[in-house]
Amino acid sequence: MKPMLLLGAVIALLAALAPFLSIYGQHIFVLVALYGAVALAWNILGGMAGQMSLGHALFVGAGAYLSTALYLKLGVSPWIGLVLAACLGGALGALMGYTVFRRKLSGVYFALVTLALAEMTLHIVSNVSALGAANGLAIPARPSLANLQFTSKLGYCYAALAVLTVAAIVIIVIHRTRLGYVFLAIRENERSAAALGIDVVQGKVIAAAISGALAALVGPIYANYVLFIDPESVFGITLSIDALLFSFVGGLGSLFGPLLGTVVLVPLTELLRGMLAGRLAGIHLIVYGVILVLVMRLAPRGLWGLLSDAIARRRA
Amino acid sequence: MSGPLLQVRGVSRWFGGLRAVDEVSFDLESHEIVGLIGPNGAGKTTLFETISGVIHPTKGAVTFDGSDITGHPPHRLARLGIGRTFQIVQPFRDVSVLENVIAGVLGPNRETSDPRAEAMAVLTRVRLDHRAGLLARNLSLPEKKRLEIARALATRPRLLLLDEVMAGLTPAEIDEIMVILADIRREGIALLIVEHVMRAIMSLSDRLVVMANGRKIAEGLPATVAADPAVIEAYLGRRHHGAA
Ligand SMILES: Nc1ncnc2c1ncn2[C@@H]1O[C@H](COP(=O)(O)OP(=O)(O)O)[C@@H](O)[C@H]1O
Ligand SMILES: [Mg+2]
Repeated sequence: MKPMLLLGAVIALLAALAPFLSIYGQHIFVLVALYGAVALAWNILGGMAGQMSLGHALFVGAGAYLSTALYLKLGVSPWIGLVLAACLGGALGALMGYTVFRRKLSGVYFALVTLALAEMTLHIVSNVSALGAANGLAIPARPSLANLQFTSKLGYCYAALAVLTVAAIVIIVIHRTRLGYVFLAIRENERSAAALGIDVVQGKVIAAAISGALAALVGPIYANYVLFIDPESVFGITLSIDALLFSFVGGLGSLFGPLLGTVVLVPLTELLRGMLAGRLAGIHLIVYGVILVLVMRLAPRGLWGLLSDAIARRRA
Repeated sequence: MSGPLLQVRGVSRWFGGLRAVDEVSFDLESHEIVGLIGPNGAGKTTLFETISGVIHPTKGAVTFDGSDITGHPPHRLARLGIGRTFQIVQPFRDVSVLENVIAGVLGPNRETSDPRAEAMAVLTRVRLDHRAGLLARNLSLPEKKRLEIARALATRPRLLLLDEVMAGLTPAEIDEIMVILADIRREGIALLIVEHVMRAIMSLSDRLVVMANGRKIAEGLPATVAADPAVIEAYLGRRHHGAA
């Protein structure tokens, strides 16, 4: 029960903090929570089950486009869109996982397939005029709870925090049940896992499905926050790399390291973007690279490993 | 179900032209310890991997508890009650010893009330309980061999396949494993043991199956088999060959 209580306390603290933030602070809050949810989702497949994805934007984008298109074309409530997005993400994850893992192909192959599928989808959506093609889709501002739109940034803080909480709860539940050990075994040694009665292919497919469903959940919230989506922003490789990078920097093996990575890297990116004000586009990628090298040299288990070692030393 | 627990019927496995296992048949009763011996390259590991579902036999059939299990994937066999260890130990290196064994408890997906306590009990059986909190990578080789046995035991097998669990160990460490294996058989688990340590396999086994060049060349009580001219020839012939 302890992790759930701790999670509850952290969420309550964040929720209580949000109203006191400046508008800019609340913007960062929303970004951190949404990116954090994507990173946590990525980590279920990449960290817990050990299957690297280079295309998690596919799920975010699919979720964003599904709910937005349904809302704009058919007037379907974004709340229903949210549920359908998770279903679509889960189905895509399961399908991708099944086609690749059933053939016992290596992890590199899976990474490349996810990358290729995300890029392919980006280009397909860019050419479908019903989906706004490369121009994207704008959502008219009609703030109301029913439309999943809010008049203040605070509402989006809570919406983003809710998605993050769902991801965190799923992770804790996985960790405390058999599934956590199925993922652990698959990540560590597939031959041994099978010898212990674990269906390795099924385990990977389940990991991909859960990961995809949670990542897709972020799409509709992001779309309604920005009120605009285009293929590059939600299907683009930048988002896929971010999810992986935040997890690496935060600590792959840990449950919540990816969130820590997000908490550090997203504000840093925003800060740099503000400071450089459009000059030196892409400078944040260089900074990311440097941070990644430093973390790999100085803290191979990520910031989370660094933190838990420090706590252990204090206790000793 | 009466009849043998495990039946190997005319199993062959060819790699191209090489008959690694050639028409091998034998039975294993429940509660029995059968030793599988033979010179290097005889086909023991290949036969083992065939029984445990990793390798598909080219011909022949394997039945367990009366049902055909030929070609079943390893995880299905583990769920049916066939546990195994690997000749080259394959621990989950970066998690604790206890978590390794909990994975074994939960692997077959059956009802368990307290996996952690169950795993601790298994660790006690192989005398690794004092290492529960250590990362598996930090165990010594004899400890890793015992972890390998513990993890397989945790799946609650009725038959345990052990591939060279004593290789690379000192006589004292071998004695320790022999005590553990004797305990295991007392609990009613049947064992199929591949081993090069003759002292151990002679004293542990109820029966021996001897392989050479992929074929079964002898089968019977350890004392009988040790005196069998064909067996002596297989081992000596090998040595002569090596000396040449
Ligand atoms: N995957 C494989 N491909 C080709 N030949 C193999 C393979 N596995 C084993 N062999 C060959 O089959 C024979 C039996 O090997 P093995 O079963 O490992 O013997 P043992 O365990 O008795 O030492 C050897 O000649 C070995 O080289
Ligand atoms: Mg061998």
